[in-house]
Amino acid sequence: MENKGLKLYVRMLNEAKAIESTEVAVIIAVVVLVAIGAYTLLGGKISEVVTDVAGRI
Amino acid sequence: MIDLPALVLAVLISAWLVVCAVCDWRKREVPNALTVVPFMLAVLWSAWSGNAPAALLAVAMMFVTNLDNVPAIAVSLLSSAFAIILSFFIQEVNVQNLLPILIIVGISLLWYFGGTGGADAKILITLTLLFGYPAFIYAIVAGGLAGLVGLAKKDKQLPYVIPVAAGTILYLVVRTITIF
Repeated sequence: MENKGLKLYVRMLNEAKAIESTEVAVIIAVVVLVAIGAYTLLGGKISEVVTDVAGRI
Repeated sequence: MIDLPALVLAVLISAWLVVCAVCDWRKREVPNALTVVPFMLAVLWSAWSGNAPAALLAVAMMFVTNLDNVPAIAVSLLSSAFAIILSFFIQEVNVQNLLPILIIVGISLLWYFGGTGGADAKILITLTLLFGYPAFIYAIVAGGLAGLVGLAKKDKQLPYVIPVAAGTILYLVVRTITIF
């Protein structure tokens, strides 16, 4: 069981492959840019909410 | 006034990224020795320099990526929530501290579902832990531009670490100039 756990643990660390798909690279960039755009539009509100929540905690 | 440590770090990281990019270009993979050690150093650096929740989450996600689908998503959400709540207690809560948490979860799940390779995931998480979200954005946008060029050329193959390295080095140059 311990050996299995150890093998599982290193699974991601062990993988040396790199992404090869152009589509995935574009999709990731688009998602991140959309998120940045959304934050730019709503950033003030988000900051207010975060500050409010932090204050309550 | 020259910030020597920042300059040395930028040079070292740039050299490391160039080596990773060359490996990716030649073999379509990056040896673990080149990604695991910097990843671990970045975790320690992040924990030491102020974003311990992100460092903890990066380590937790190594475990999460070994689980089955539903538990992986559930534990990812739980780990993220834990990291965010921890942020509220132990550090200033702002975008600089919270975004790396979301980026780490996003990259890990992307790798889990086959969207990216383990080498890319470790490099992107390492950069995020070291420099926060701006380096990640530079790297991802450079990757997207390279992807668009590849699509225009009808080339499906993209050594992703090359644009990631280029974007990050550009970020380091801009950052170093800004500091000076």
